[in-house]
Amino acid sequence: MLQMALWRIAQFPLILAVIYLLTFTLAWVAPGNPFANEKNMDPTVIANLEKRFHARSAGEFLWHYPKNIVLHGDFGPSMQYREWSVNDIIFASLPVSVALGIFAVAIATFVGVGVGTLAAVKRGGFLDWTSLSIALIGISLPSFVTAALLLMFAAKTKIVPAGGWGSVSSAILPAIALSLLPMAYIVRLTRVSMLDVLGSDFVRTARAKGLSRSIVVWKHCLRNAFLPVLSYLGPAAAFAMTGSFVVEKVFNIPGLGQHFVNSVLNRDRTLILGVVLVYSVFLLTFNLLVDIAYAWVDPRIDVTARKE
Amino acid sequence: MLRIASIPAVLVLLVIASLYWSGMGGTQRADFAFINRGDIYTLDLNQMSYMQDFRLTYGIREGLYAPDPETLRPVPAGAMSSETSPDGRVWTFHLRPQAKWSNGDPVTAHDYVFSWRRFLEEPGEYTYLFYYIKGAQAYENACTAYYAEPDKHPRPDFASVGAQAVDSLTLRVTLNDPVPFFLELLAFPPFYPRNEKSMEPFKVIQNEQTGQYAYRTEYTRPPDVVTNGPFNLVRWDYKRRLILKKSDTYWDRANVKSNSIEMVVSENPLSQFLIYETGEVDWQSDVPGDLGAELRAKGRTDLRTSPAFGTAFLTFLCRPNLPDDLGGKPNPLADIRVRQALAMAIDKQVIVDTVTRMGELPARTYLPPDGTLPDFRFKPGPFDSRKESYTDVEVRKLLSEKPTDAGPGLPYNVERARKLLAEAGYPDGKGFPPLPIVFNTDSPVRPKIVQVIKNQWKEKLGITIDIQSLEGKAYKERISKKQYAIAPVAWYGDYPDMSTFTDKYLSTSLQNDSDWQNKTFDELCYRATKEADPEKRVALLSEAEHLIDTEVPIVPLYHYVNVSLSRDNVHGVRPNPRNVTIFKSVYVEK
Amino acid sequence: MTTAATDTLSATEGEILRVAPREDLFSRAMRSGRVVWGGGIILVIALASVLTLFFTLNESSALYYDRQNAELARVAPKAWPPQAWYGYDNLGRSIFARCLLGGTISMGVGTAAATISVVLGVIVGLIAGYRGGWIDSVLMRSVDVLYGLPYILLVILFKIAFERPLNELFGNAQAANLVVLFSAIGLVSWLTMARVVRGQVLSIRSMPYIEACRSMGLPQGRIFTRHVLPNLIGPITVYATLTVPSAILQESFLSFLGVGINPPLPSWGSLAAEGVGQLSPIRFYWWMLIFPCMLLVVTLLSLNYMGDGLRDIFDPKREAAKL
Repeated sequence: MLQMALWRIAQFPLILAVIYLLTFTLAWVAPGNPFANEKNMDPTVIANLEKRFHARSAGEFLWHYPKNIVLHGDFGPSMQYREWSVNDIIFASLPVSVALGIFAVAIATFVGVGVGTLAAVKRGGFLDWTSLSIALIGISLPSFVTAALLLMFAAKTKIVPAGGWGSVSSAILPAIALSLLPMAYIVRLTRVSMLDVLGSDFVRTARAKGLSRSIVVWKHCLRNAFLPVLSYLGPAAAFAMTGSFVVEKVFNIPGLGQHFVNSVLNRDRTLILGVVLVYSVFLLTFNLLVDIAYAWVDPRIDVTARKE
Repeated sequence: MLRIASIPAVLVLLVIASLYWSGMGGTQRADFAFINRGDIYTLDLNQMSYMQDFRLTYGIREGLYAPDPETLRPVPAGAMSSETSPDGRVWTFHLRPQAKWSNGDPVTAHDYVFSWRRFLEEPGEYTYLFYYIKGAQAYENACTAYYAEPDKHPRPDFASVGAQAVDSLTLRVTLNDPVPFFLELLAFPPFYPRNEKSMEPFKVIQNEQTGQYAYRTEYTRPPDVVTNGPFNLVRWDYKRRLILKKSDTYWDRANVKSNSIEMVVSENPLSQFLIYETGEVDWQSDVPGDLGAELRAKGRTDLRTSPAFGTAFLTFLCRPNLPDDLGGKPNPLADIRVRQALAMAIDKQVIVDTVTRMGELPARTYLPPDGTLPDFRFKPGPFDSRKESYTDVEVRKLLSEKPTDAGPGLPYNVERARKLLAEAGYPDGKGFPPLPIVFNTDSPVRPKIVQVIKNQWKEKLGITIDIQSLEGKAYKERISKKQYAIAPVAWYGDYPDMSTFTDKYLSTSLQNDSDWQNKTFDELCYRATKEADPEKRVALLSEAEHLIDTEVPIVPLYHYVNVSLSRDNVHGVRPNPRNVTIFKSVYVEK
Repeated sequence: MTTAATDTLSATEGEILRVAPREDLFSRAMRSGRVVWGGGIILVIALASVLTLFFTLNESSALYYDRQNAELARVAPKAWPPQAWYGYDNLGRSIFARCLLGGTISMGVGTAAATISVVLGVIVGLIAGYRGGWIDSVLMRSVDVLYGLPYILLVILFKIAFERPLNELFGNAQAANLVVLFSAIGLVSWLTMARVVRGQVLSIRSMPYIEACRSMGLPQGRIFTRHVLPNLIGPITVYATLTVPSAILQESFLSFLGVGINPPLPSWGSLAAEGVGQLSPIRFYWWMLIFPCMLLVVTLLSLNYMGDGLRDIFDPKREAAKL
């Protein structure tokens, strides 16, 4: 397993380099000037700014910035927020997104697995249908609607702060909002794989032997049924952690997700690249961690075999 | 089983740990807290452009003059007194010896010269304001040429510029022509001084040969930033908050009412309102239209409004041909009759009543009659039989009643509009090409405005226009590169003088989005710059403004209203047309 | 994000499907409650939206989608006339009319985007699965890399890059905008389909009876059309049905950001975004938000149920577990 992990990690630089180049190309060709201000600007002023930011041509950009990233881990200054370097911005917002993301994934996992299991156990019944429906509403409503409604709920009832990132209670509603999408998938995944497992031979044997239903379900089935959920957790965590733009915007949370979208809208090329690389690193790392956890949880699985 | 159970346990621990790592745990509440429309864009004087950046700068920096907290007129600040030569061209400023930087250094004339020189060597958006100074524009051009091709051009000499430090406490400025509003300019942040010594660690030499240098913008951040205003910037948490503390070195600190000020950052209008409602801030400086309208309907007493020194208008591309990517065909908007027809067919009252809803005045003139320029006179429009010009009070009265033919500019008159359109060759709109109207999607009102206008033109003139949404940067690019036909834009006055509006439409101006070339207009403005008599100057500029209102390279839509929220115990914050707030005199009564 | 999620759904279902005779499939589909109800609701909504196009696009009709009336701005719903059923929006337009046209546009964009992603995904998946070797590796690594790019960046950039050229091509800004929109969404959604198809092709090819066919001398083409393709139809249908709701949601997200559909054309997503824009603790114009959201929820739930039902049909093993 260690060998596999190391081999995967060795592939990271190549994948990241390809992602960097692709993102750079896309960001470079998009029309729109990152230095444009409220009023029209003198071409000299723009030329000066381009010179300062080494952005006069694609070649100059690629000559200057990747060097700094590889040698110093320095992504350069942000083109839109000129007082701040991309590193400053990422270090300020990443912990927030990570915290919120982990919180959201935790909620999604606990609630999702619980509801999915219940739905599978009581299949075809009322609980099955309603729980499935409630979960599916999470993916049937646009996220900005659910987030806005939750914010209104907080504003009206004043139980938790309505937005901002100050105390632990201010993280609850955004985490719930962010958890709805992964929760819906986890409910369905759990239900489907739980149904699979419940129909298998060893369950029937266990029940025939007289083991109580709950023990059968929670002790034996859950472990097997949990595996697909586990492999889903990788991408889910990466997504949730690099932040959801909508939740951050609606709840006024200073996380990284807003920079995903805003940097593209602002044509802030250095920030786009920084954020995309961070996202990719998370995604690759989480996928790797999930594969490792997969093997650890179920020793029967040989992860070193090529996944086909 | 244990293996499975450990995963949730790890998750829970991670959650708790990361919540603390991410900087939870608030700070102590400042004496006065406020929230803006958005985050600070930059605090570098060279690059500043947005209202909130200026607002904060008024709190941490000060110039030769500064706006008085009550009257907003320029009063001596960094300068104790000034003298003008008889011809009005040479100003001598005597600096205040007690004025100090936040690091203890005295503020000297050299600091002003250094800051102004930076504007010429590294041009920014407001460099054009320095052109009033003798030799400034020539120096800037010489620098640009020299930096680009040092072998072909001589090294520029700053001594040729009319801004010299006679000694450490005396500054002498020589202007090209008398500028009656020069003190207003000096009270505007681009003319503020900077402390060169403190910026030294951020200096970047860009070219060894020419000596061209720039400063990394981080010099504006605490703890390195050095300022000379009533407050010091002590903390800046990216996208969360900025904290100002009363300065111990400020010469007038006895009159600074609050000890600490906090600016909370939120970029979501609803969230901004909630932050105000819960008491986390005392003042919400920009309230979006929809929310403001609902608050007004509810009769909220903490809602404060004032007419603004700004106008929203449609800009037409006035070139003979449409841009290439729109077909490059002849441009119907180049014909003045077409523009006038389009202008007279818009019922602006509908826009003001259903879209913006804050009691704005439907506009007929480019310059807003909000009271910032009480001496300005608006000439009667082409369909008005009255001979005398209107005062701003009369124009306001006229606009708040139903729009009639009488008054400056063009009235709302569909009959006349249809006739003009027919005269121009498009009877009932037949043959009129479907022009695009672009707007930026980050504006909450412009999407609705363009939909209303599209409908009105269709109904009343029979012409079709295509709506194109663009996001912010793409939109700005199209406008500045003149690759559009019609677009909603806005303009706010930077300082209380007519030229802040008329300069925009000079044929040579970068801000002339319409590319409207009118020799008479240029000449009137030029004569106004040379005119020493203030009354004659106003008459010239009034004539010039009248040209814009009648030839409609732009169609004024409505005059803005500044809307803010503040509770009754907040003092020193008063909505005013230019949206200037001087934090020196702001305090919250407990 | 949704692409990554449904990808792992496929990982659990890399099982081999058996071909069931076609007649049986259809009648079994009709017996599945979820397919019937889900499909039925979709059909009703789609028919309502499309059949009323005659009214909603007709400028002189009371149900014209852009009939602005300052007097009716923000007026609450009433029982009569029909255009007042869902109330009026900011500019006094009938929300009912806009929801009807919005339905056509949302479902149209969703279906078109899903079609593009199906076509692309199937082509890439087939090539990768069939050819194998280095082509397969390159294609799959590319898919991995594309997963790494944030899709929102791709969509926005695609839209920005292609909207103007298409505008010149079509001469009609609205058409260009719609084409760019569903193309952009389709182009970022095909990744999952490619992986699923590839997985299926690989598992089918390695089955013994396919080996038998090959050794018997059956031409590749025949093997493909008579044995491989029928087994693909199942997963493709299921995923296509599940891609449509995801595409509709992506369109609504883009509208929320302001890079979606051009006004005044409505889509359920842009109507919901406008409704959210009106949200405040002071006054809630509930009809501007509730009705578009209700339509979205009902339609997307039905699509998801239908997809679930179809998946159960195409995988007999799952059926057995339910019994």
